[in-house]
Amino acid sequence: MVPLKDIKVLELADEIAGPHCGMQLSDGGADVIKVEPLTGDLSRHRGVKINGESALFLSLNRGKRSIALSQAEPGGREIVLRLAKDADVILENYGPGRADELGFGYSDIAKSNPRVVYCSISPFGEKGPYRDYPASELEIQGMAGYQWFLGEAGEPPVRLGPDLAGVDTGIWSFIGIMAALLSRNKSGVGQKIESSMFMNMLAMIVYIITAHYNPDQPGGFHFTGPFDHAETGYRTKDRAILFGMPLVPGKTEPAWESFCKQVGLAELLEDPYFKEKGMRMVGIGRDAQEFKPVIEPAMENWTSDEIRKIVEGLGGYFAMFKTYQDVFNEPQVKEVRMIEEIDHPVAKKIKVMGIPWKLKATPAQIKGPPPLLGQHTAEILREIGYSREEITAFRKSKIINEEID
Amino acid sequence: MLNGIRILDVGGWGVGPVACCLMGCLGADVIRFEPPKFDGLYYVGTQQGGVGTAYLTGHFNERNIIIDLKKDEDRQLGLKIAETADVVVENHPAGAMEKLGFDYETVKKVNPHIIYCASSGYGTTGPMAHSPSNDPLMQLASGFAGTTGASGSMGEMFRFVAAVDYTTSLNIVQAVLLALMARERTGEGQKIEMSQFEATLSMQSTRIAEYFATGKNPVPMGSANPSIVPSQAFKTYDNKYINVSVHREEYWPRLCKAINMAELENDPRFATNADRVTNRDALIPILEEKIASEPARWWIILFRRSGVPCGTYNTVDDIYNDPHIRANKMIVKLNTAWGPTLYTDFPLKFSNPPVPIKVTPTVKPDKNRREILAEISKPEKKAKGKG
Repeated sequence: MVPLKDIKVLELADEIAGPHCGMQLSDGGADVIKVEPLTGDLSRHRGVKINGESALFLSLNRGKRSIALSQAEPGGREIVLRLAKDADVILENYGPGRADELGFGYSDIAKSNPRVVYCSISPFGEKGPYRDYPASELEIQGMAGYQWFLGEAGEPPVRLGPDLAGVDTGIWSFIGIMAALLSRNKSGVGQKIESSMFMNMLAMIVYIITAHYNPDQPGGFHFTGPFDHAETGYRTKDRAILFGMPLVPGKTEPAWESFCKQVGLAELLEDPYFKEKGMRMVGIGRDAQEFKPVIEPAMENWTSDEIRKIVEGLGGYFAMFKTYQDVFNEPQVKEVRMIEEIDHPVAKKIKVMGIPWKLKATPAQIKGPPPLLGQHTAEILREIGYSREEITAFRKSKIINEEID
Repeated sequence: MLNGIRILDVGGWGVGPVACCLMGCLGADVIRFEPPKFDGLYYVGTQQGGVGTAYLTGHFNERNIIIDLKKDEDRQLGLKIAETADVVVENHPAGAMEKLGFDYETVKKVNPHIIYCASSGYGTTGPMAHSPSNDPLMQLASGFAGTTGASGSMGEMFRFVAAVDYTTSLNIVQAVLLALMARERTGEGQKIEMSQFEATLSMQSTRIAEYFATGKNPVPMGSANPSIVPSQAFKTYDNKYINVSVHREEYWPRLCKAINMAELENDPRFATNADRVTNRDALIPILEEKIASEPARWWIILFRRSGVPCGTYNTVDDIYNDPHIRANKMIVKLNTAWGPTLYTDFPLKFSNPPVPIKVTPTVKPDKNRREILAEISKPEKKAKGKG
C-alpha cells in the first residue's frame, strides 16, 4: 500500500518547482501524468546531458508518464480538459491568469470536477503589484532578502548554490496539496491553492523578520547582515574548514593551548586577548572572522583531515566544506538510501536522489524512470477514451507528435 | 484542513517544532511538551523581552505544557496525553527517545494508531548516526555550502537563516501528511524515520544531478548559474546590484530590445541559452558594461515594463516596506507575552479552508497546563484511525 494509491495528478508545469512536487507525489504513490508542449519541458533543454538527456530533467521527473501535445490547438486543449475531468490534483505554473485564458483555470475545471485540488505555482502569487513580473530562482532569493546573509559587504552578491526557492516551493506545494486532499476526504470538495516562490521563501526567513523588529540588544550574533564577512571558513591545503574547542568548563583552555601548539600558533598564546577570545570561537561569527587573518595562514600548512584529527582528539568539533564527491564517498549516504539507480531507455543507468521520508508501514517508492517526451501519449489518450482513428488524426494535424519507435 | 488532528511536539530547537507550528497553521491542535528549563531556542540569538526570537518563531500556533520526560510521573502524564494524540514529532539525536522511554514502541502501546515521526541528524544507523547535526554543520556536511560562494572560493555558509533546518521541517510535514493519508486508508498509524541529512540531500537534487552526470563537483559561481546565461547580478551606475535572468528563451529578445542592443539578438553566438552558456565570457562583459551605464532604479523600471525577469537585493527594511508583501499582508504583527512582534503569515493561499489559516502568537511555557490536564481527564477519548 502506498499512501497516494489511486490519486491521479495532472502536471502542467515545467522547470523545477512544479516537477519536483509532481515527482514527490509520484514517490508517494500517485499516478502523475506530465502534460508537455511538443517541444518538451524547458528543463529537457537545459544544462549537462547524459546521452542527450538533460540531467536536470532526469532529476525532477522520475515515475511520471508523459503526454506531449500542442495547447495552441483547440484539439490539444480538449485533451487537457478531458484529462482534467477525473484528476484529483492539477498542478500548473503557467503564470497568474494564463490557465484561465487557455480554458483550464480552476473555475473551468471545478465546474465538472468539484473534487479537484488545483495548485497554481507562480513567482509572486496572484495578488499584488508584482503579480505579473517574471522571475527565476535568482530574483526570488534576492527579493526575499537571502543575499543579505551571503557574500562580503561591497562585493558582488552571492546566491545560494542549490535551487532553494524552486525545490522548496515544490515541497510547499506538496504540503498544500496533501492538506487539501485530507480536507477533501471530509468535505468531498477540492479547492484551489496558490503557491508562490516569493511568499514561500519569505515564510522561511520568519526568524529574521522577527529578530530585527524589536530586539533587546543590537548584538546577539544574528543581528547582522551586510556588515558581516562571508562565512568561508579557514582554508587548508585541500578544503575550507571550521572548528571550535569543547565548550565545557575546564576543558576549553587546555584544549586551545594544545591546539595552538600542535598547529604552529604557540606564540599567539602569549597574547591574552587572542588567548581568551580565541578559545571561545565557534568557527563562525564575528570572533572567528576577526581571527581569520591570524589563523588561516597556519591552517594552510595542513590538510583538513590533519586538523580534524587534532581538533577531535581534543574533544572539539570540526566540519569541512564538503564537495559532492566528499559527500557521496560517505558510507552514510548508502546507509540512509539516498542514492537510487534507475534504468532509463536512453540515458541508461542513472543515479537519482532517494526519498527523504521513510514511512515504515506504507513506504514511498520510486515508480520508474523519467519519461521520454510524449512516451505515453497514445497510452494515455486511449485510457481517456480516444479511438485509434482519433489518435491518428491528432498526429496528422500535429496536435501530438509522431509515434516514438 | 488538519482540524481535529492532535500533534505532540516533543522536539527541540528548530526542526521538529517548526514542523509542528506549520501543521498548527493548517488547523492541527499542537501541544508542545516544554522541558522544565525551556528549550535551547529560548536562550540563543537575538532576544526580545528576554526570550529568544527564534523561540517566538519556532513555537507559534502551539499550546504549551512543561513536561520533564526524565521524571517518571511526567513521562506517565506525557503518555496519557499521547493516548489522545494522532501524531508525535521528535527530532532528538538517534536513541534519545528510547532512553527517555517516549519512543515509538512505548507510545504505540498506549496508542496503537499513533503516527510517530522521528527526525534525526543522519539516520539511526551507520557510521555518522551519532554525529552532531545543526543547520551550519549540515550545510557543510551535505555539500550545500560547497556549491555556494564567490567564484574561486571553497564554499560559503548561509548565515543566520537556517534554511536547511526549515527545509527539514517541511520534509517532516510532508511525511506526516502522507502518513495521515495512509491512516485514513488503512486505519493504521506508523513510524516515520527521516533525517536532516536526507532532507538536505533531497533538496539539492538539481545540483547533485550535475555531479552524477559529469563526475565533477559544481563549484561556487558567485551569483551566476552554470546552465542559464544570463542569470546573475550586475552592478549599476549608482554602485548597486540588480539581477537579471533569461531562463526562458522569450526573455532574450525582450532583454536585447530593452537595453537597445538589437545586434545581440541577431548574434548567432547568443541565439539560444545553450549558445549563451557556451559564449558566456563574450556576452557577460557586454551586458556588464551596458548595465553599468544607468542606475538600478531605471533598469528595474525598464525591465519590468519589458517583461524581463529582474530583481533587487532587498534588506529586511526593504521587506518590511515592500508593496507586494503589504498588499498580501504577508507580515503580521501579533501580541505575544513578550510584547508585539512580527511573524510571516502562512505562505500558501487556500480558496476554501474550513477555518481561516492563521498564525497565533507564541505563548509562555506551561501556559496551557490546566486546560490540557482537564481535557485528558475527560472520560470520552477521541476515536482513532478509521471509523
